[in-house]
Amino acid sequence: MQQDIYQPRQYIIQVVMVLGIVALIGKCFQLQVWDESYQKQHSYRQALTLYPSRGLVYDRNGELLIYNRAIYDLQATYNTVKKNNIDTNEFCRLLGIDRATFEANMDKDFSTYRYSKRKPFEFMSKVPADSFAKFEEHLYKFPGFESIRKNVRGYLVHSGAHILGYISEVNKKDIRKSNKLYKSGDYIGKSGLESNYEIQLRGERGKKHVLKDKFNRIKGRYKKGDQDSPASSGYDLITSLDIELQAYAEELMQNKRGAVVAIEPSTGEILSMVSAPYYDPSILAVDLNRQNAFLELSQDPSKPLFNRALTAKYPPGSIFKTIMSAIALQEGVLTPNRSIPCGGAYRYGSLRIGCHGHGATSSVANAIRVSCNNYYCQVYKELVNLYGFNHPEKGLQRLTEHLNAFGLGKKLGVDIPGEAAGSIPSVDFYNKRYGQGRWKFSHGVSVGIGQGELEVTPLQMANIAAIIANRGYYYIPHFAKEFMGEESNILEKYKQRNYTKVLPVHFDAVIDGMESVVTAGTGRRAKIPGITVCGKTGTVENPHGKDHSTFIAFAPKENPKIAIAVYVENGGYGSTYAAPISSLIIEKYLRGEIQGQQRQALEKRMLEADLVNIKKTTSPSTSSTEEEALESIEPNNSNQ
Amino acid sequence: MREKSNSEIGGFDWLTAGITFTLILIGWGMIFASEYQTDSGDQLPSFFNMSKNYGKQFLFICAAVVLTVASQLLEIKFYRAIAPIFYGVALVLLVAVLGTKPVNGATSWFSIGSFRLQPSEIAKVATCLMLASFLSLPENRFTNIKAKIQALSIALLPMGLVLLQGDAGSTFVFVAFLLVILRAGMDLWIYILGSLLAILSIAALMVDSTEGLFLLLVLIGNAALIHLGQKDRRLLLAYAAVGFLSYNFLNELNYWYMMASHGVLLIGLLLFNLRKNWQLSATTLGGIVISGLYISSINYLFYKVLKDYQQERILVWLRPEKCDPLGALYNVDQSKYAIGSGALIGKGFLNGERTKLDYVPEQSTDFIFCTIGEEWGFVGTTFVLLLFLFLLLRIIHLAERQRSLFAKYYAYGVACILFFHIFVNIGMTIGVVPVIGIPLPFFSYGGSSLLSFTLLIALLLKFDSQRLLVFR
Repeated sequence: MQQDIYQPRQYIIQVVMVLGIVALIGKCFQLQVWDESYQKQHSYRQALTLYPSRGLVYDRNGELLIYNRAIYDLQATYNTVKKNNIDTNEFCRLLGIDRATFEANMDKDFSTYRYSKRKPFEFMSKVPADSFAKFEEHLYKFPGFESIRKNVRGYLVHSGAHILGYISEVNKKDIRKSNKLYKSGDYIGKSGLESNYEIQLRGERGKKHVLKDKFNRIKGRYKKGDQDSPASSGYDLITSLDIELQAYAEELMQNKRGAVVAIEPSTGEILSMVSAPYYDPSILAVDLNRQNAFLELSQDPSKPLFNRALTAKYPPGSIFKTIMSAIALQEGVLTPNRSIPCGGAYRYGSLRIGCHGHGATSSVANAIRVSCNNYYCQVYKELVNLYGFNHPEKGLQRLTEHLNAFGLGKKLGVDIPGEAAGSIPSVDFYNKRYGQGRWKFSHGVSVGIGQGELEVTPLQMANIAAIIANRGYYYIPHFAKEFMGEESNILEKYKQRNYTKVLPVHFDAVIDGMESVVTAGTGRRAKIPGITVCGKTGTVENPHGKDHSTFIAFAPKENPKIAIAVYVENGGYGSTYAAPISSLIIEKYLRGEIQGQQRQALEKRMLEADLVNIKKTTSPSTSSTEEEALESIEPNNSNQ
Repeated sequence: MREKSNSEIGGFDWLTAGITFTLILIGWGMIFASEYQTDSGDQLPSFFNMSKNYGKQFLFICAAVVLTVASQLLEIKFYRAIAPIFYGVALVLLVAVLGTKPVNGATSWFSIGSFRLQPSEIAKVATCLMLASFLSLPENRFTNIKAKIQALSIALLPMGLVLLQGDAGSTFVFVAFLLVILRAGMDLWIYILGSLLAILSIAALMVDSTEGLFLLLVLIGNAALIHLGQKDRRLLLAYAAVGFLSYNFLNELNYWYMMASHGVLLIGLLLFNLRKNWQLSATTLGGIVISGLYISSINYLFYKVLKDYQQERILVWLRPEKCDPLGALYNVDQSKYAIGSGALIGKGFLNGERTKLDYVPEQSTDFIFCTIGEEWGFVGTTFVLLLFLFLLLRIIHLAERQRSLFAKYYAYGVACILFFHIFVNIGMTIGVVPVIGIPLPFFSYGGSSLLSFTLLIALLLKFDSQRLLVFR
């Protein structure tokens, strides 16, 4: 072997190789470690939200009220659509849109960050399932289009809109409040039960992480689904509503304004709640016409979206005398048989509150039957002066506590949003208005007969009827009977009794009085043959127009099954509309039908009565009864 | 040069064989990973599924082992003797393949049933043997120009034929033999000149306007004249600083002022040196003029001579900002994203989503490095690259311990071919070199390439085992 003079050249070659490999390692270091932008590129995977099906809603008898139905959103990716030259004519024909709509929907402002030609955007939304079905069969012909199925609500009934509520797309505030749980385009319960029980009804969303190939096709699950979570559907809600009764009550309230609330006294479950005027829940179902329907309802001067049963604050009128009796009996101001002579009015100084010509009020029951104003002004005076004439604040405080215990002047806590507290004039109220120590019982005496500064919601009125039926306690009125399979105790508060400060024994006289109201007093129109109804009418003075007609009742007298309050705005005497409507609802609930010719005729008159469209028509009953005459002389001067 | 453990006739170098086999096994795992689908359930599919590339690769590995063993049965004399015949056959095959139907725009394969043979792979081995055989003869020392031209022809003839097939990648690989010829004593200045031309070409293509390059040439010329003519280091440093500042603050407004001032200096220096050392002035002036002409013509050549797709590949490499990210750049970008997403330690075996979801083209063949990068991260890529480097240096070590020049130059051939394949293949997946479709040795799926690379190593091991038999 001879000398190789070129041997040092092996190092040139080795250096070239080492430098080459080191250069490659250096570039790998830049790509994999140094420059993090390569690691953060995640276009190949996507998290899909799995939507649970929303809980169904049933009535108390198991009838399905709200179900879920599918609508479709159609998404388009601009570049893919343009690249594939789809048959636009066929596309438009299948989807039932015209060419101009297609172009308009495709033409987004891609210069803004909201839209990208490479990312899907919303092409059309809320396409109903029936019109989408045909298109979907051909969807494969239109690359770049993707459909997203969404569940929205479908309604099997046409009543109970205020209670059931509706869902709608979340707004920015909802998204912020939910900690970004909701995304733009999601639906959320916006009113009624849908809103109150959003958490229980919506269920839990799932997440599915998928891998997409470069053609945006789903190819598999990210990390074999380790980070996925399944969707679990919402709890089905059984409500306390009797949907048949609800529909009937709504029918009776057609062409009237006012409210009906019917409660099962033994549970506090609300059987029916009507706010008239009402609307069909299905018109606010999510579809293409919803926006217009909503606009129309919200601009209607009669405010159909407004739930009068919860939010309208009315003076209760004479129905208030029932609880005044109970409180006075408890406080020893009255004994069941106390008689107070009536001179046709209550007079105190220059103050005069008129009464109607009736005989002497020989007992509490009798006073309720004839609805004596004098009697209850006297009772109010004695209650407020319980701790002496010069200490009305002490007596009034005591009375306020009693009234609060009856659920007045506070929110009861019903399980749909929007409830008003109402108000009862408190010590503070008089102190503010007249100055401390500068007012007497006489400044609020009309409260004794349910007028004056009292504000009570129809729900609270019905609750009063339930309290009397229960002889001194109530359950918070509510709609949710049960969430099927739900194990938390969200409904626990509706199973607790709330006691008034009146002992049960003191309700005997009140109930007897209410019975006689129906059998022989102002509420004779509420009489149902074979069922003992206990009720109390009220005719509420209305400075803006015709008096309001109101009635509270429960039936049967023994073991009451239903307690009800009906309030008909501008209905005149309590006996004209509120009492008959109450009795029809009671009979319908207890018997399932209206029996007897006379009762059916009454039902017909109530159904046909129109207090909204033809203002000038007279009341259905032309012949005023004696009782109505009595009631007509309700007070017309409240305290100054 | 001597190792105790080796017997009288040399012994088998298990280390090289071990590294090679390790690389092959890792490669097999990577092919499996690149084809494995995430939605195929918890059960790992069999490694031996013959409908998949990884199943077929298993057969190729078996064949490679058989080939290695069989190749050890013949003597080095035999291989040396048949080198010209083998080379001739390879050339014939390269010509014959031109008559076949093109696949993907290249006529590079003979199809026999489902089996495809790539003659350029055979030509690689044959050329390697032939060149080694030629260079080992004493009459072929590079003392005469004829031997130099013959040696270059041996390498460039198959290269030309492969170029005719339209297979740019395999063509480029034959450049590797130039390094072998360098080792054998080819003039160094040719390589330096070639490297300079390559750098000039790249520089010319990387800029929009060549004016800046002309200024650079003048600056370099001045620096060379100062350095070689004045032999004053301080003066050189001062000029380097001035030149650097001039070049950095170059813009359209001051270009002609700068060109004029440095130009005047150049003329002054040329004249100054003319009397003392006219050769220096002449060489510098010639270098500047020729380089200037070359730069001026390179763009013309680029756009007139290269095909559109070739231009595009080079532009993707040198001027990515000029390319469409969804078009030409897409594959390289996706390849870089895949490797980059592996980060330091990778996503783990079979978890390389990007490669599996077809973002990366040719995942189991040319872009197999993406799977390594994505699933094993920087740790994995560095490990593989260092393993390759170790193999290369080991082969050079083997080469230098050969007594037989034939075996020595053959070993250099093997090292250079491997290096080119490794550098170009991995370089293209990370964007260091243009995309040229050549396989990564021992990793890429494919029988032809696996068998030819294994054969290259196997013959080397055979020659090495006989190195102590004095043999020329």
